[in-house]
Amino acid sequence: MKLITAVIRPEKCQAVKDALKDLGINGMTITHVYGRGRQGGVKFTTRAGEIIIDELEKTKIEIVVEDDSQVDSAIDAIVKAAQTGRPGDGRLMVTPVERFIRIRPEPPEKQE
Amino acid sequence: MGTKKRIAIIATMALVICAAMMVFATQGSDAGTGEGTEDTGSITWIMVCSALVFIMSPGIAFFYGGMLRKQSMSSMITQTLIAMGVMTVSWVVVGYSLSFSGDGTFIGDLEHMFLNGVTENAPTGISEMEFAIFQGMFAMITAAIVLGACAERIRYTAMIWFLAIWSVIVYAPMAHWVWGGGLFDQYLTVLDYAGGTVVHICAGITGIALVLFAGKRSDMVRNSRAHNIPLAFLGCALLWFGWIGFNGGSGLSAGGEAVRVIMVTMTSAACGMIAWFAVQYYMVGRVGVLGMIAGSIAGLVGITPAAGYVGISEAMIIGAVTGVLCFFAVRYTKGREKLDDALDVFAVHGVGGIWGAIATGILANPDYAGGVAGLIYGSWDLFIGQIVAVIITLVFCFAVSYCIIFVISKFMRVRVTEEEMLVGQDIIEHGENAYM
Repeated sequence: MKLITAVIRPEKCQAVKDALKDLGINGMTITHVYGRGRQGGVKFTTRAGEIIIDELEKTKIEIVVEDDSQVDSAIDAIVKAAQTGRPGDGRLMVTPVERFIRIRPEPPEKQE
Repeated sequence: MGTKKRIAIIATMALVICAAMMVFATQGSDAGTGEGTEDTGSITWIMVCSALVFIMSPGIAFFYGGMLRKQSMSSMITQTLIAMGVMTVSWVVVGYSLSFSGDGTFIGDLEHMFLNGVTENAPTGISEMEFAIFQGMFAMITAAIVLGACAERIRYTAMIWFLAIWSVIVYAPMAHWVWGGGLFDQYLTVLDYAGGTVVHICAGITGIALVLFAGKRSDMVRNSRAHNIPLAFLGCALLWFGWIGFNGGSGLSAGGEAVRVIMVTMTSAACGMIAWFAVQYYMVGRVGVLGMIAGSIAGLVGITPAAGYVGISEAMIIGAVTGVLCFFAVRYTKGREKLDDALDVFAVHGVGGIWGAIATGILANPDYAGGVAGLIYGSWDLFIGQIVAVIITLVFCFAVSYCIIFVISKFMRVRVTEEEMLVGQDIIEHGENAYM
């Protein structure tokens, strides 16, 4: 059971969601975040000199994959969907999950 | 090098200020004439209307800014501010003179440069200077409307140069043709009460020229939603409020005509909003603030050229048809890949203005201000004149605006890069976030 945390370009969010949906992964948490990568932000030149924007807009997607055999295909799908090849494509982290509990009781156990 | 440039800029500014002061000094000497029976009612009303039209320009910043991403709010405000500055300076220096002085077919002359010889006293009606104030506000709002179409992609400096040149070689001739006794007055029967062609069609098609030249925004920016609906509504409210002076003052007197014009304007705006609501509810299934404010603005645009020449029932027809037409125009332009008109300026102001001008040709009542009969009263002259005027406006404003921005692009970078677009012009160009 793994937690996949992907920090991607905001404009690729829809593509990643679609790619994961094709694998049958629907549940996810999406957060709008700010950050910077290895280049330490993006540099722009203005009339008076250079300015560095070191807080760039990104989108963070968190998914828990319960079936370990599905983790690799999920990673592949996210990387393929979010890639542009330019700096700023983002990061992907995979961490183990100890327990995973649904707050709502499972329907077979209890009728509503 | 840098110092030399700075000195040159300061010297130019000092020259301009001196010139202005000299002109004002000579003008002060002939003040104090023309005492007697002033039409204080009309003078007061047009001053109030000027203030009402003024508030439309800041209103535009709220209206457009609220509909953009949060990263473009400051950018929209700064662009509107500089439009107000550039258009006002251009108007008092040459714009007014080129628009309203002389009988040239294409453009006026430079007799009233720096408002030289424009008097503030009037024995009857309103004075020429008061007229210049009122018309100057129209120049400002026209420039501000353009900004909505090409929002989020044109660099600030390029936009300033564009507006400065555009105000002289596009806006001034347009105002001259329609109101200053130029082309349209001399060769055609054209009625334009408060600026359907000069303000709305001109602004809409100029926006399209900029959009086509600068290209579309990146998909992420384009697909983002309006960031602040209450601000957009505030902008709409200021526009609607200002429109009462925009149309109501265009008769240049405080009389029964102004009363009727305001009633007609309100009627058309209400009908435009309800028609938009109805058609969007039928087509989409739900209606929100953005649809209703676009509908009301569409209704106001539609009635602008016709306000003084039609009655209440005609206004209802014009408003309702504008609402429906503009709704489908927005749907059409939103579906076009290349035509990224950010805030539907052409779909609302352009299409609404075109229909309003043609509707004036159809419905104008000869008993009212213009004294010219429309199509339903059996006269074809006005109808044909309006259509020709619309076509000339579209072709002229598009071609010249496109040429201006093309020439500017030879001297500086016009478009913001994809990276800059994603970070947003607020930070890249102005260094000020609108929100913390």
